[in-house]
Amino acid sequence: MADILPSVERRLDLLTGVLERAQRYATGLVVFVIYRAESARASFENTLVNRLQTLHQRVRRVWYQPDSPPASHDLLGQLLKSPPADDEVIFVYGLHHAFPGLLNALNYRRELISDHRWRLVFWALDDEVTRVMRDAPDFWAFVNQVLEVPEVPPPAEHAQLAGALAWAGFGDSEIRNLAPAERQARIALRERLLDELPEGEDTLSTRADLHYTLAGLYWADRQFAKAEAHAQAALALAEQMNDAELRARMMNMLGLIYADLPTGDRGANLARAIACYEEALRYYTPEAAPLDYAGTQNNLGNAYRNLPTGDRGANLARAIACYEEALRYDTPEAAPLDYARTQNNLGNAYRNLPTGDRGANLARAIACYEEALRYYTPEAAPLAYAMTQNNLGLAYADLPTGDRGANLARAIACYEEALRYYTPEAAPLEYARTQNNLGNAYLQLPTGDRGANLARAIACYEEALRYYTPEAAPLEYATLQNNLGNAYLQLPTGDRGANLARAIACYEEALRYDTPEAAPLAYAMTQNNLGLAYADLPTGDRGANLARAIACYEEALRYYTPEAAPLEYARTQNNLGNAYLQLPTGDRGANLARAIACYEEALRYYTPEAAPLEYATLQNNLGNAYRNLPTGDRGANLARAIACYEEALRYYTPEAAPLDYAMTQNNLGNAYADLPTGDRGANLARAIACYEEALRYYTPEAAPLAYAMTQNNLGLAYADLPTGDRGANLARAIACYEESLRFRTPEAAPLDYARTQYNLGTAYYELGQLEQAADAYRRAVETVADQGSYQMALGSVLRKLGRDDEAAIHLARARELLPPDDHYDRACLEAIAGNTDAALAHLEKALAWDATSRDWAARDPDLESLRDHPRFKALIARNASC
Amino acid sequence: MESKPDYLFVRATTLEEAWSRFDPAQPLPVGSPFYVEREDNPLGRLQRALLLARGNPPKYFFTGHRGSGKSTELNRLVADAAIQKRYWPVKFSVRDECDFNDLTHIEVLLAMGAQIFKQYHEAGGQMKDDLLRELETWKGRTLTRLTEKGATFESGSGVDIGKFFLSALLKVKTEHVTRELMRQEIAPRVSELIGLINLMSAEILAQSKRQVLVVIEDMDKPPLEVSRKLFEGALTTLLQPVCAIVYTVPVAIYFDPAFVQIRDTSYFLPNIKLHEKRQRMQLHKSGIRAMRAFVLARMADTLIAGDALDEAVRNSGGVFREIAHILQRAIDNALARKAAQIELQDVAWATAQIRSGFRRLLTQEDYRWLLEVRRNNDVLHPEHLGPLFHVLAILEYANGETWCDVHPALDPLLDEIAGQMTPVEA
Repeated sequence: MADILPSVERRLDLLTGVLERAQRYATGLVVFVIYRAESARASFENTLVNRLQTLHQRVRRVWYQPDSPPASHDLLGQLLKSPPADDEVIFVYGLHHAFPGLLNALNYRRELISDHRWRLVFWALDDEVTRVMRDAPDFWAFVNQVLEVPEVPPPAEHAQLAGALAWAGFGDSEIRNLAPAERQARIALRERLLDELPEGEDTLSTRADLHYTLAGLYWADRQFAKAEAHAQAALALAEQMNDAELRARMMNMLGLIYADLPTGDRGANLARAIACYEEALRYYTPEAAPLDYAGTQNNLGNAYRNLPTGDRGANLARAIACYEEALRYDTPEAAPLDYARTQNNLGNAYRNLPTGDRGANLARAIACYEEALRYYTPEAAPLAYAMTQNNLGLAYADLPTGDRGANLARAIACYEEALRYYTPEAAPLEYARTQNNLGNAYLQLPTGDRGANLARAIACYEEALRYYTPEAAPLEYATLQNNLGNAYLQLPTGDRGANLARAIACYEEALRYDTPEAAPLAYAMTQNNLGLAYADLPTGDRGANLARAIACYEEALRYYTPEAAPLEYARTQNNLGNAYLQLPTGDRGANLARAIACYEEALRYYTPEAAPLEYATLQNNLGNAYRNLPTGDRGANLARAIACYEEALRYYTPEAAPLDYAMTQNNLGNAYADLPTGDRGANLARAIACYEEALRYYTPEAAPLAYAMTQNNLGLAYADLPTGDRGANLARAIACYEESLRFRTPEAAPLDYARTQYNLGTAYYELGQLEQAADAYRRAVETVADQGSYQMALGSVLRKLGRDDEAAIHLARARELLPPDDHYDRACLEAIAGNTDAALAHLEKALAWDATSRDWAARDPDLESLRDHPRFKALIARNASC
Repeated sequence: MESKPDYLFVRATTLEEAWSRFDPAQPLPVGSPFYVEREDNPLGRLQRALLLARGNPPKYFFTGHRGSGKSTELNRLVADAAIQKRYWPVKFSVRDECDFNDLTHIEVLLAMGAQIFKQYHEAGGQMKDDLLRELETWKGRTLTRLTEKGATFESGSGVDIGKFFLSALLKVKTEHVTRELMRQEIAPRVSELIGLINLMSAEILAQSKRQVLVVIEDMDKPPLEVSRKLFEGALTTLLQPVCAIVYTVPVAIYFDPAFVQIRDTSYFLPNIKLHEKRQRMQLHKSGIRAMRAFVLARMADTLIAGDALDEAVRNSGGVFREIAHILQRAIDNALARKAAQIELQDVAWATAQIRSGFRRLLTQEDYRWLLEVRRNNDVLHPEHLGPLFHVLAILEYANGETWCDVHPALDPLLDEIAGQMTPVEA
């Protein structure tokens, strides 16, 4: 003991004075405060800190722990890297954990303290001071002041003091929001207080308080094993003391711990949590403890909300009942932040409720979040405010009613508001999660520039990926990679092949962590998305890409089952159908039959009531499959196709989906144009009506290539129209082709450009404008040199123009290129070559497949040499009567 | 580092002001009004030795106990007009250049070369091109060999030799690998490095007509075993540069019989003697005066009661830093009492703190040796007393012969223990 020991108050005055003087005179300062009892030290320190605060001075704490990294032992080096402000005093604890590195640093670099005018207070035990004096004597020579806090309070006072210290700064929301270092410091203090307290009746209550607060702090620190151990210790003491209130408090704490346990069976953990809360509620009644009752009801609601077992709707309904019960007592007047918390939780329950009207549920959720935000303000609770803004954003993003663009715009505003407080420094994972949500909103935003929205989405996902690393959060990382892939998949700007290649890379990265074992539905979703990317990939072998897409969809369907995820199952069946529809390899009929089977399977779950637009999409796709089916009765297939398109058009309305409406009108027009049965003129008139209806929404501004396609189709219909003035029809056809060619350019769509040039050439050919026909065919051939029909057409017109040598080249090329089953063109080729029998054999086969070609065959200049042949006449007549 | 503002060197008229005048961490700048001349100052002898030296440039060693005022005295030495007229001083601390835990003569010589070049250059000096070329050549050869072995340095044209030296020193200080490479590279060619130091010294002598005087501080601070190894294994090398050098050395080495060569050319800064050997009651007036002057230069005499000042001086043991500690702590206590003047109780409080510190450190065995030293004031068993010197439990004095006494703050403690203990066997 010191020879003279002034009062504690005097020592505090002295220490406060010396710290203030050092700041005023801008000198370095080293003070040692030697203590023997943690409770006395903490009490002394608390008073000192309060005094410093009145002098506008702050404290930065450096805690050395047993596992502090060696690099941190060089205290002065660390302070050089992160210098204290002029108003900061550095408190250093746990010195012995940093020996001998700390001693070396202090002894050999002590001049840094005076050079930089740092003020250091070392809180030290006797042994630590002895070691400093002996092993860092040069540093010790610099120490300005040494004070002692040697008092060990008498046991009763000690327990009382320790009990008060146990509760200092302890509150649920506060301990969760503490900086990790500060939380560690509070844990260390309570552990030491517990060590110091002797066992005995006198200290039971204090030890229980310490165990309880330690349980809470460890829980907030996510050290659940220690949290549980302390909670169980507190529970044992509560039972020893026969203290029902304490027991209820412990049960509530245990419930929180079990609810948050990251290991073990989640359902079992939450079931234990529910049991604990229900046990707590036997004591916490509204009459006895209304706020504790409300708090426990809230916790019980959380457990039900997160319960992965049992009926989801029933669990959420129970959760809602618990929150509403809590809100009877967590009122804004009694406990505004608790009220806000419960409103937020209630909002979450409504947002996730799978039963009932979705729009109504989300509207209730929005109301709850907005109510929470009246009390969760940035000033009162910035992180809780951010959390609720994020949740509100999710509700708007999911809202199925109202204007979609406006809802997503509100969602974006909410996320951006959340991000003002969810910063990387304050809450990195929440920041990342909100960036992800913001990215999703931009991804889905139907208004504004699509490319710009997707670019923003990509930026958000990439920002989130800086914090959601595979190590920190593998499943969230995988979700982000999947979302980033979706953004690249849909990006309308830039090189399509490159975008899809990036999308594929993202999905494959996601699949490293979204495994069937870890997350089967997420795995299935990513497989589905990967399939979409391969299906759209414009580079590489088309057949191989679609084969990969098919493999991905089939893999997804192992986990997207009708029971687990009926709508996702249906969506993937649709995608699989599309892949079979487009597959260029294998048996075409078999592929289309598989496509039809997929679409029909999807239609079992995509009903008009459940998903009207998806239902319409499927009907449209089914129509496409029937229209292209090479097997069976052609007329029957096309009739089915027409029925499908008309069914789609009941839900693809111009108001709901104008471009899809236009697409289906175009497809319907194609079906009528191909229909071999009924009156040809009437069919083509209906086709023309469909194309013209499509063109009301397929405008050059909205969809230039679709506009061009429909103009081309309209031209074909006019060219084929058997009624009306032939010349006028052909003139209209030419006008349509030329309109199409404004957008179907060699750069934008070379194959389609060539096709339309060919059509234009044919119209000119029929009008007898051979030079124009030759020019158009030549443009087709120059763009696509390996299309036999184009070569043949050009050869034919050149022959008519008397340019036989040139014609012969193209006709020879056509013979090489024409597919063996292109019977119509082969008929023309053989007719031009004078091979009548071969020409008629091919023509018979061609007309058997597509009777609508009869009309063209009757006037096709290339078949002129056959016109008088009886067999030709018979073929034309036979097909006229079919 | 910024120097302290001038107002802090004005005599304090209030206790609040006085607190800042007794900072134990800061040596005094040259010309400070707080400087107190001491009787028989060995720096005077060192200065005369330097001024009288002829022939080979002299090499001296300077030492003293912690808190005796070594840094202050060395500051005054290099600022002395006569020294400046004869010598071109280059003063630096190895603390800034080297890692104390791992110090060899290589780092000391590198630091010497760097500082000679740097300080001459900063003072406006310009070395001739042929010397610069030779330095560059050495630099280039060394760089090449070092980079071949994996070290990296800032290099290329335009990077002068000074920067290379400093870059090398920084890496040597902070990077263990580079340090080892540097040692392996330079150690067999240390004469080249010494040669460069000599060339620069010769150039400065030729241009300024003054010999280079290198003063290296803080070579007494590394762990004792590091210092022993340095001065034992490399003393000859350290004495080779053709310039005047003053090395600081640890006190333990000064007293170690194995280092007689150092002792013979050493200057020891003793503590201020306050009484005669074995005669505590016979006060040494000039020592007392010096300690009083130390205090009263810094603050008005009205700020401290007479008996308090006497007690502070007595308990300082003649060590400047100790009296600074006592006064600053006493001021803290007085201000906490809201007093306008330091009183005896404040000094007692400060002294009690010092005593508490010793109480933690000292063992029963230590007390036996302290009682012995208090009785006979002799350094009879230096092998036992070393640690006690190290922590200032024993203070050393000189008046023709060297003698010692215990720190006065320990007296009450020793009085308490004296009756309980048997004397130690000699």
